[in-house]
Amino acid sequence: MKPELTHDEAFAALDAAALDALDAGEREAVLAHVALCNICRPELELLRATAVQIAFSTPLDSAATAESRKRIGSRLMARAAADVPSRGPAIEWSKQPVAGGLGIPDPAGEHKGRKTPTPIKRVGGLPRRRYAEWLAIAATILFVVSGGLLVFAASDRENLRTSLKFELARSQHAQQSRDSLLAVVASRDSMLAGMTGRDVAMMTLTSSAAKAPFAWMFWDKARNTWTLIAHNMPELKAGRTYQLWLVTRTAKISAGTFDPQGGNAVVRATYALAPADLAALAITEEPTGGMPQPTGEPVVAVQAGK
Amino acid sequence: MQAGDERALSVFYERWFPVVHGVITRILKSVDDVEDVVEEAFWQAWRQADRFTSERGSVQTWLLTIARSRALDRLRATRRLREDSIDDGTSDQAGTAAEAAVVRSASDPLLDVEHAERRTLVLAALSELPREQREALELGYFGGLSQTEIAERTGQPLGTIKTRMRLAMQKLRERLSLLREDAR
Repeated sequence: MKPELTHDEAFAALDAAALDALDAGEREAVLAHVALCNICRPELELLRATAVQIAFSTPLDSAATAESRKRIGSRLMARAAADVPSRGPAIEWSKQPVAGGLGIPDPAGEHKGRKTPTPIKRVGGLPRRRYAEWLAIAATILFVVSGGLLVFAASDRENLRTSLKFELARSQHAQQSRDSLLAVVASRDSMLAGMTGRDVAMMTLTSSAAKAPFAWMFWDKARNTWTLIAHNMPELKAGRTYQLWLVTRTAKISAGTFDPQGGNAVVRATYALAPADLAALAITEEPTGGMPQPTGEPVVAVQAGK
Repeated sequence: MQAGDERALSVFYERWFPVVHGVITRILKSVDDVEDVVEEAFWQAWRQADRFTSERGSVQTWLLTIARSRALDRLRATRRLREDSIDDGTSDQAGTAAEAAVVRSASDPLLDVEHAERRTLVLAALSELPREQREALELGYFGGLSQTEIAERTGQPLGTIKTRMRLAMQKLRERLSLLREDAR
């Protein structure tokens, strides 16, 4: 057998293939390509249909063939009449001699002469109807088995799809948890950095009340972060909140609002402020949402530098 | 015919006998061989009718391929026995005979009109081919020779034969496109 042909090689040989004018090896290689090529297959069919037209160029001498036509016709019809009761068993194509490499099996095998026509080979000697019944049964079994396999495959695929969804959801959840933890850790790291950095200034905010609230402010001047840790903060009434103020000589700057839990709170803010500009820190009680400027007395406060 | 109706076979035979007989006669010399092979071709068509599907080609292509295949089988078997050879004068004689046949067919009331018209068109298309291209085509189709065998027989390089055959087929394809569509 010739090595596998490229498409171009096979395509160029299709004309000769249609005429069955290829050598055996080449023909085999071309047909192997054609069987798999959606371009060459219809092209070869078209060329074969063209080649067949050449048959019509043959002379038809009706006078000379009239007798021949009658003789052949009589024999053919007699054979057909004898064949009708059992006509139809499938010819076993795979075991038929292939004529001239044209792919047309010869059902009669080697020619035996017209007086003793060769019986047609039948599959297993089965009558056509019975053979057809067996074929139908086999086809039904095949259909049922195929259907079962299909259902099984579909079910299996659905299970896999469900498992995949579950794993994806779990993975997403794990990813979210991981992100949350990382965020918490990052926040704590940041807070620790804001409290322990080289440029951190710590200030204590105090009060004169009986159960004195107090707070520590950690100001990381390098990162412009402010971290307030407050304790003993009086419980707020409804509609009220605490607001933290950075007080300069010219302004009182809100650094955020907070609602303590059990009197304790941690507040973080970022605000760039020149160290010399800070005059004081103060926490006031304000309406929920905060105010642009402090409206109440400071709950706790500290002057800068103390 | 696919249902096993003998009357259908009879009609089929009457319709296609002229061209089947013609092509087999062209390939084989012996009258006895011709009759045998014509009968075998129709017999095979009868037995395999249930395998014919129009999606794979026309009845004409199917039947004529069977007929040619059986004839070439016989020819090759005869060659093996006698070391015989096909008629070297295929091309010239074919042209002459074909032209004569056109004249005869036009005046023969028994000849199938459709076949006659078709033959006229095919002959016209073939006659337009250069002699050497037609020769390559006919040695392949009627002689059952491979391109290599044609090259040996004609003394031409294999590449030349391939080119001639390809060009001939391309021209025929173009000229006979209407016939292919009709045959569907």
